[in-house]
Amino acid sequence: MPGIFDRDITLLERSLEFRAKRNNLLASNVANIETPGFKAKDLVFEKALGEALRSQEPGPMVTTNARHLDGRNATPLELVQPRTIDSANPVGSTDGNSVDLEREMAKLAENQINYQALASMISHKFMELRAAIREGE
Amino acid sequence: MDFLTAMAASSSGMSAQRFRMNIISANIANAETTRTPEGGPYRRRDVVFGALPANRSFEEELRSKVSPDEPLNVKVLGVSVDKRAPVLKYDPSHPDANEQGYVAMPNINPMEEMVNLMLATRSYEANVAAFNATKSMAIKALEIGKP
Repeated sequence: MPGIFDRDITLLERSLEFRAKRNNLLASNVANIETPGFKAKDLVFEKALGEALRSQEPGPMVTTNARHLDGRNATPLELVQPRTIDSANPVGSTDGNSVDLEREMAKLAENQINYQALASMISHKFMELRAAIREGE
Repeated sequence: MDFLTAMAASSSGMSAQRFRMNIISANIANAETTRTPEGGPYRRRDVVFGALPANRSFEEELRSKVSPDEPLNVKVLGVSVDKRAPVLKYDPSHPDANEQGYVAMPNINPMEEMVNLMLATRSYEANVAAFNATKSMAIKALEIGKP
């Protein structure tokens, strides 16, 4: 394990960062609920984070030398970038605004709960480290 | 930690909706006003909302470049005056009546104004809910590392 901060902490930290960014976009969607022509946006990152998490697994090719390439497509967790998408609204409105209030509020709540869960988990990680440092005191 | 952007977006939404409520209240209050500084009866007003970038770096501001992915704030771009013709009401005793006894009254439909008022209220509440969600996230973030 390199250092005392393992990959879980990096993963939690990146997730927290993306959830905070997503919250910014969702709040902006709600604020612009009556702006003509405004397109609702969302941030997707779960898949990219999942792929980055698997990037440390060995690739499809066998390596017998440190300089061999194993063919895996590795983006380190630290470099994962979220993607902004237009959230589709099948109903739509006549003024070109694509904000669906119910869906945005549901996303906000979901994002908030996930954020709080992640924050609790990272807190717990630090508590574990603290316990180890203090020899379980 | 960038929660201030979300808070700025929500508060821009709240202030835009409050501004709209002021305009709607003025419309209702002036439903029978026949004299205005610009002459003639009161004309109903409406707000125009626009989406503007929340926070821009100096370079972006300099080049007036808006990235499509950044959170946008709401801004009241202006107040438009309704072009509907005034309603003529027969009231010969009114001081503003014309020779035929008709008074030009503002063309304000109380039902329409009330519906808009409800819309503004609900939008305001949605922004408050979004703001509270951001706030509780920020508070939770501050608790990280607390024993």
